[in-house]
This record gives sequence, C-alpha cells and structure tokens, in this order.
Amino acid sequence: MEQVKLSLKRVTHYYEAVDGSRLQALDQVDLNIKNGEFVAIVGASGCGKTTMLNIMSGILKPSEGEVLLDGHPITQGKHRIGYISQTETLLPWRKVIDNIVLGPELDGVPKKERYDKARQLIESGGLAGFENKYPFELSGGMRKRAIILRALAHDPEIMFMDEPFGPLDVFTREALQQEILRIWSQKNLTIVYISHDIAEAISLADRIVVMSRRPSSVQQEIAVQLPRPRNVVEIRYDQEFTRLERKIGAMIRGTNLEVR
Amino acid sequence: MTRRQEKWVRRIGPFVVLFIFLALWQYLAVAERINTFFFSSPVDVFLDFIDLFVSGRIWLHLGITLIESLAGLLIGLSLGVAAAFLFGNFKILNLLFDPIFVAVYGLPKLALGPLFVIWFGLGLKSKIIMSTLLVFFLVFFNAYAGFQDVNVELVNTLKLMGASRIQIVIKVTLPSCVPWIIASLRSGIGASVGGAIMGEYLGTNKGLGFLVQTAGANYDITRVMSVILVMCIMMLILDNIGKLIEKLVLKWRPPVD
Repeated sequence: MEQVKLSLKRVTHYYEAVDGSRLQALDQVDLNIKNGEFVAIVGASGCGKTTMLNIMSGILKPSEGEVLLDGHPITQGKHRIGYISQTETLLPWRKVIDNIVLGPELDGVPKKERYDKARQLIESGGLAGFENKYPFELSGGMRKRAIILRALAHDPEIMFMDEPFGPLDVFTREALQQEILRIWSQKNLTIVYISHDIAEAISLADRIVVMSRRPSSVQQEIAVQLPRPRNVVEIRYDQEFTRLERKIGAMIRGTNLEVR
Repeated sequence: MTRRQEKWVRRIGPFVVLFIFLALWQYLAVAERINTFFFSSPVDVFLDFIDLFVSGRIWLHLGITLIESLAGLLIGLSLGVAAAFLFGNFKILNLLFDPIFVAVYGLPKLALGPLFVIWFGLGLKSKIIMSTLLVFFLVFFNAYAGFQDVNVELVNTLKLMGASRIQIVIKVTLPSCVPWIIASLRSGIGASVGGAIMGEYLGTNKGLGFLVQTAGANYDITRVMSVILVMCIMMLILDNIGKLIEKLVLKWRPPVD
C-alpha cells in the first residue's frame, strides 16, 4: 500500500497559443500516488486538470519534469493504462463483447482465453444479456459500464478517469460511482479520478488533490478519513463529509477567477 | 396525407404512373398517331424482350457486360481504397498527385476511349479498364474523405491501450472508413456498368452495349428499347444487391428514419 505507483516530478507544461505566445498550464507539479490508492483531483475550471491527466497517462509530453510509473519514465504504448473519459470511446462497429476483449486482443492473448475473461466480466459487471448488442443499442450508462469493463479486461496498471460520468443523469451516476468503488476494492486498483464535483470526489477518494489556478500546481492535499466500504449516497449525510465539502469548496472558490 | 396513405402511394403510385404512360404510348402507336418505325410500341418492345430470353440470345451479351462491370467494380474499388489509404498516410503523395487526380477526374472518360482501344484492343480488357477508371475516382474521393474523418478519440483510446501503428490502422482506421466505402459501392455499381457499356460502344462484338449499338445502326428501335429494358432491370437488381450488402455490413449503425 505504501509503495509509490505514479510520481510526478516538477512537471511544468506550456501551450503554444495560436498567436505564438506561451500559455503556462502547469507549474512544477509534484505528486506521488501510492499503489492501490484512490486519488481525486479537483480544481476550478480551466486549471489544467485534464492537461495533468494527459501528462500522467503519457498522451502528452510535459515541457519540463518527468512522470514515473513504477519508477520508470512513462512512455506511450509501453504500459497498460486504463483511461476513461467523458466521451464515448467504444468502437461502434464492434459488439459489446468484442469491444471488451480489445485490450487482450492487442496483446495477442488467445481468442478463447480473452472471450472467457470478457464473459466473466460481463456477468459480474451488470451487462449480462447485452454482450452481443452494438453500442448504439445500449443506454449511456450501459455504454459506460462496457468502457469500464474494457479497461478492466486489460488488467490496467493504473486507471485514469476524467469526469467519466459527467454526461449521465444523477441516478445512473450514483450507481456507477458505487460500481467503481466495488471494482476498486476488489481488484486493488490504483485510480486517479478528475472531477469538478467536490461531493463525488469526497465520496470516492482516499485523498483529494486541490489544484491552484493557472499556472496551476498542487495547492493542497486532503486526506479523506471516511470509513470504507462507503455508500456513495449515505455518506453525504456524514458530518465529516459536510466539513470536507465546505472546506474544499471554499478553497476552490478562492482560486476561481470566474466567481470573484 | 396520413402516413398510411403515403405508404400506399409510395408502393403503388410509380406503377400507376408507368402504366398510364405505357397505355398512352401503346394507344398512340396503335392509332398511328406516332410513327412506330421511330418510336416502336410497348407491346412490341415487351415481345422482343421476351424473345431475347426465350431464344437465349441475350445471355452471352448480358454475361459479358456483367463480367466487365464486376471486374471493373472490384479492381476500381480495391485500387481506390488502397490509393486513398496511401494518400492519407504519405503527405508527399498527396502533394505530388492531388492536382493530377483532380484534372483526370474532371475529364470526360469517354475521351480516353480511342487510346484504350489502341492500347488494350477490342476485347474485354479495354472495357474493364474503362469501368475500373470510372469506379476508381468515385471510390478514391469517398474513401479519402473517410480516412480524414477517423475519430481521434478512438485512435487515442487504442494508443493508450498500447496498440501499435499497424494495429490502429487495422482496428480503427479501416473499419471507420467502411461506411464511406460502402456509400461509394452503390454509386460505384452504376459507374462500373456505365464504364463497361461505354467501352462496348467504342467497338466490340459482344455485350449489351454492342447489342444497342448494332440495333441502332440497323434502325431496329424495338431492339434498342428492349435491350435498354434489360439494362434497367439489371441495374435494379444490382442496386438492390448493393443495398443488401450495405444493410448487412452497416448493421452496427443506428437506423436513420
């Protein structure tokens, strides 16, 4: 548990604007994420959360600094990374089960083995009976489940989630949050979860990283000492939850240019 | 109009219009208001149409035209997709060939006919090449648009899963072009038959185009029309096969009402 899984060392990033000027998104971000930890990253809109996630997952190379996964610099294509964004990323021409086997398929796992595994995941992941449907035949919530199962089928070393349930309705969102907690504790996953919803971050995470405004760095790290297993709905009535929500809310409002 | 009425009009209406047209034509022919030497009559055309099949004379010509068209379609389709893929991946090809392609695309292909006859003879080859040429450009521009339209999110998803470049091409780029290729398949069927018949007009002794050509030269208007009727029915069947392929291949897409 105490072993460091992912570490950001003085990560700085600039964007080149259209007019040629440089825009600094991240300023010397230092962050360590432990093996098996559930870390949420929150911050005012436009503070570079998604930039940070793209750098952590190796999609984007930082201008300065480095990212280490299990002590090795992260390079795109070298790791099994679970990435769940708010967009639809199932391959529309593949049935649900054919989408879920994708990761092992890329790794060259034998057909029978990968389909057996996918069937097990579908059974436990609430998609039984839908394995032979095309994505367009599923509801938004079910497509999200399929995306999560696809990530799991690949045995991810680490999971990154970028406001994954943003576009869903509140009840579907609660159900999926609960599902993520179940999967996380069962599989001992390491999850980095970006959210603009403070309540969501508190109910899921072990630790919340609050980002400062741009050029952003880690403003504060707050441990969430709420008991587990958690019920994402019930936990909101806990006193500690309310205290944290107020505290983090005040912190972000203090940095948010748009409300000042 | 209610939905129900619309459905019936859609189903029966075209036949009623066609029937009225044919009845009028037949009346004018029988009443000698039009010269049947130039305009024939529906009954004559129909009887000649039946005779073409009963006597078995049509099969050789129909078969030849179908073979030329099918060969043109398959070769044009494969080359079109391959070229679009290369253009999409190697910018240099695009820079070198794009203006040339646009120029050749705009050219009426019939103008190239005499060259094809001299280079490839009066046999099947010149017809297949004409047909291939027509299909090629149609498919190329469609498939190229498809390659430009690949969803970047899907590509990134696979990259994060550790996919190699070639895996991304096979599992994302090519499948996402399929709707574009299929869209060009249906118009490609028309183009391939058009190309084959165009090729036959340039000179041959087999094929539907040859039949029309010789009948026209002999002022046999009835025969010209009955062979055109054969072509119409052939196109109708081929287009429906295309539709069926489209439905089977694209069943992963939400139906558009």
